[in-house]
Amino acid sequence: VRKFGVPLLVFSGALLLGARPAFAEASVAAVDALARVVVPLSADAPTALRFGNIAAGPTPGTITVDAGSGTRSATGGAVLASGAPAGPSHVNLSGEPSQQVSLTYPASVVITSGPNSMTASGFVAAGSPTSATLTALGTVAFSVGAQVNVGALQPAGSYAGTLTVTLSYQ
Amino acid sequence: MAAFAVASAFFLLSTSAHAENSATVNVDARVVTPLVLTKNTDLNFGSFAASGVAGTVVLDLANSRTATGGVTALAIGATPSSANFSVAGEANSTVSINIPANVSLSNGAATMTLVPSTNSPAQVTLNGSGSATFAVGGTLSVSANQASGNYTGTFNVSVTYQ
Repeated sequence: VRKFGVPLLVFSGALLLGARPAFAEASVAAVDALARVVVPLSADAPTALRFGNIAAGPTPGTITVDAGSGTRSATGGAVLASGAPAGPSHVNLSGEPSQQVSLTYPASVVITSGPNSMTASGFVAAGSPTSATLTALGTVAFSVGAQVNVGALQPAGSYAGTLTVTLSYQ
Repeated sequence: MAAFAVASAFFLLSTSAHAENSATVNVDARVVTPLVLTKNTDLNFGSFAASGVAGTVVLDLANSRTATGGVTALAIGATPSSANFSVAGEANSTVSINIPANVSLSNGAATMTLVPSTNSPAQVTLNGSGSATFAVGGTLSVSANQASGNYTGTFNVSVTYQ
């Protein structure tokens, strides 16, 4: 049997012809891509955290507003005085329903009256939670209390400052 | 394909007829098993929070999700999952995976852009039984203050013999 080249060329041609249609076939599947962007967190505090009227004494002291009961208490030379509203701040949060939100408070906030200042610290929500769970309607309310350090013979005046609570989804 | 095989045979015969001596030649062609691609799971980025800073959510092929920039990934709602596919076809063959360059997801009003990802290089080799699986993940671009809602999009994935 003689061997020559032409049939081999035909052979390879047949292979290509037979295979090409199958290799060109593609199988396609559709796939869904899904994502959920949650409702952004927002908050407002319609009620300020109010320490009320305080009488400073010759020694330093503290005034504490309890977040849960709303009552005030005094230590040291600071004395509770009446005549001005006092109580915790009421904060309303809104966001993604049923989601947990973490609450982070600064260590302290300086409140001032002109050149004079006092330091408020120990910010805490009622029950000391560091998180709150939004309801099925996407809202939750909580109270924040704190303590203010009153200096010896702290100058009289209306002291004010701003507490910034950091909220984030957990 | 049958028509191609017949035409080849005629070609072979006529070529042989021009030769002075007879020769036998093996003619071999293999028709491979058609590819069948099946989607097993969709691509789900789960839930996350947008912010005033743009960012991304990246879902890798092993279902691991990471958020960058101003995006915070949340462990609520649907579990994040890459898309998973099964391929059936010719045993031991390698097939190319074709995915679109980008896909738009919409909540009906706002959109986000997804850049799908898969194996690198984009191929998968079928085993001795002619089957394989592969995953498609991606990177989702989230705008600053991206509107809340459920976003969906659909895209096609295909496989072809190499």
